[in-house]
Amino acid sequence: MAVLELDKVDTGYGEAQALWDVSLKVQEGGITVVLGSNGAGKTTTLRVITGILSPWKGDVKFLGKSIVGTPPHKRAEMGIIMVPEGRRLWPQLTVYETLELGAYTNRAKEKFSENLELVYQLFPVLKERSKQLAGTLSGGESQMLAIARALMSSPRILLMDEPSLGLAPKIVLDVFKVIEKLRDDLKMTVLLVEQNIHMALQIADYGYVLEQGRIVMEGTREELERSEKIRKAYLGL
Amino acid sequence: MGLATFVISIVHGLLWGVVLGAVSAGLTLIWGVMKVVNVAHGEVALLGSYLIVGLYCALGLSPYIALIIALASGLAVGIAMYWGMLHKLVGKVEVMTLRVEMSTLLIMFAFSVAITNSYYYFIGSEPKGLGLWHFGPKSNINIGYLVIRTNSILACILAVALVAVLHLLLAKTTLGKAIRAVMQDAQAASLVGINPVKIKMQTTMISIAVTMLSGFLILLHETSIIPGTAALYTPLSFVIVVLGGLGNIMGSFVGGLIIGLVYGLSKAVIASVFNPLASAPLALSIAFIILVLTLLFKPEGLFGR
Ligand SMILES: Nc1ncnc2c1ncn2[C@@H]1O[C@H](COP(=O)(O)OP(=O)(O)OP(=O)(O)O)[C@@H](O)[C@H]1O
Ligand SMILES: [Mg+2]
Repeated sequence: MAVLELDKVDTGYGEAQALWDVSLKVQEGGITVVLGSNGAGKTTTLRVITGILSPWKGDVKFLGKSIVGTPPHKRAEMGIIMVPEGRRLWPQLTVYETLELGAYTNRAKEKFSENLELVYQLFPVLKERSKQLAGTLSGGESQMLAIARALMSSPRILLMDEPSLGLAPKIVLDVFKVIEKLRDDLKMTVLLVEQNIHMALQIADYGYVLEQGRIVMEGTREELERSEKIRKAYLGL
Repeated sequence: MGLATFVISIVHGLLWGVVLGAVSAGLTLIWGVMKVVNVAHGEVALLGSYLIVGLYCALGLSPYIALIIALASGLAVGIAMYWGMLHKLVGKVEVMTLRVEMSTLLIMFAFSVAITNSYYYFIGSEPKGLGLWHFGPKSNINIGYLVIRTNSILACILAVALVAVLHLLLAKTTLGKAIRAVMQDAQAASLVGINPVKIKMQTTMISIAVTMLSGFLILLHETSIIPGTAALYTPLSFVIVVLGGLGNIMGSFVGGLIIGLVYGLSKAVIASVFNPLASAPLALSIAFIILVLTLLFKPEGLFGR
C-alpha cells in the first residue's frame, strides 16, 4: 500500500486554479520526486498534502485513509512532515529551541533524545550553533536546521520543497547526500519536489513530471532518464 | 528641592516603577508577541481591580482569595475576548500584517470605550479601594523621613513574582516556545504539530489574566481607583512596552522602572520649581517625550532584538 496517495486532485487559490487532475502515489521507504519548473504547481501539491490548502475535487489518502479536512497540525501528529520552501524557520528562536519544537507532538517527544542524536550526527554544525538564533544562520545552515526540525518530528513521510533552492553547489550536494542517507540508513519515505532535475533524478526511485498544474509523465528513474522529453526539455541534452 | 524630597521621589518612583513594569507585562505579551494592539489595556487591569474591590467590600472575601478569583476570571475573560473579538481578525493569519494589527487596534479601542462607560454607569466615578486593609501588622514603615506604605511593598513583591513567572513561562516552557513560534510564523508552527488557534487563544488568556492580576497592584499602589485611572495606565504601558522592546518581558520591567523614576522625579522637580498643579500632567508629557525619542532613535527599544 502506498503511504500517500493523491487521487485526481484539483485545487487553486481563490478563483485561480493551479492543479488539474493530479494523481500520484508515494511508496514506503523510497524517494519519490515531483519535477517541474517555476510555477508548475509543486508547492501547491505539497500544500494539499499538508492541509494548508484544501482540494476542490479529488482525494488525499494517508495510509489508505482520506485526510481531506484534517488540519495541518493534526496531519503533523500523524507523521506528515514538511521541510517548507524557503525554510520558514523562526528567526528569533535558537537552534536548540527550534529542534525542541520540532519534537512538539507526543509521538515525537518520546523519541526526542534518539532523534537529537541523529540530527547532530547528520549536521554537527547545528550542535555548535545550538544557542544561536535561527535568524543568524547562513543559507546552508538554515536548510540543515529546517531538515533537522522535520526529522525531530519523526516523520512517517518527509515532504521536501526544493531543498536545493538558493544554496551553493557544494552544499546542494551535501543536502542530497543527506536525503539519500535518510532513505538508505533509516528507510525513510521521502517526497521531494525539485526544479533541480539533474540532481533529483540521481536519487529518485520514482518520479512524476508536473507541467502547468498537470502530471504529464511518470516512471522509474531509469524510465525518466531515458525519456526523450526530459532529456530535451529539462536536461538540455 | 531638598535632599529629602529628592530621595523620597526616587524611592517612590522606583516603587511605582516596579508596579508599572508588572502592569505592562500583559501588554508586551498581547501586543509585542501576538500583535494585538490592546488599547484597552489599562481598562482590563481595572477590571481586575474592581473585581477584587467588589469581592472584598461586598462579599467580605480576603483580598488574597479575591486575587485568585481574579486570576481565574482573567482566564475566562481572555477566552471570551479571543472568541468574541480577536479570532475573526487574527485566528487564521499566518504572519501578522500592519492592516490586521490596525484592525485589532480599532476593535480594542471600541472595547475600551465600552468598558470605560460601563464603569461610569455601573460603578460610578467615586474612588473605590480596599479601605483600611493593609499588608502585615502595620500600614506604614518609617525609615527616617521616608514613609513607605506596606501595601506598596506587597505590590512590589507581587510585581516581581508576576514578571518572573511570566518571563520563565515564555522563555523556558514548551508553551512559551510554541507561543513565540506561532507569532513568528504560524504556518511553520502548524507543520510541527502546533495548533496556532489554540496557542493564540492561550496567549490571550494569559495576557488578560496577568493584566487583571496587575489590577491588584494598581489598587495597592494607588489606594483608590476611579474609571479614569485607566487613562493613566494605558498610555504609560505603551511607552514602557516600546521602551523595553516589544515582546520582551524583562525589557518592559526595566522600562517600567525607568518610567516610574522619570515620572516621579520630574513630578517632584516641576512641583518644586514651577507649579504643583502642573506637575502630574507635565510629568506624563515627559514620559511621552521618552516614547517619541525611543521611536526616533531606538525603535526596537532598549532591549529589543
Ligand atoms: N499564495 C498564492 N496565491 C495565489 N496564487 C498562487 C499562490 N501560490 C502559488 N500560486 C500560483 O499557483 C501556481 C503554482 O504555484 P506553485 O507555487 O505551486 O509553483 P511551484 O512549482 O512551487 O513553483 P516554484 O518553483 O517557483 O516554487 C502558480 O501559477 C502561482 O502563481
Ligand atoms: Mg514552490
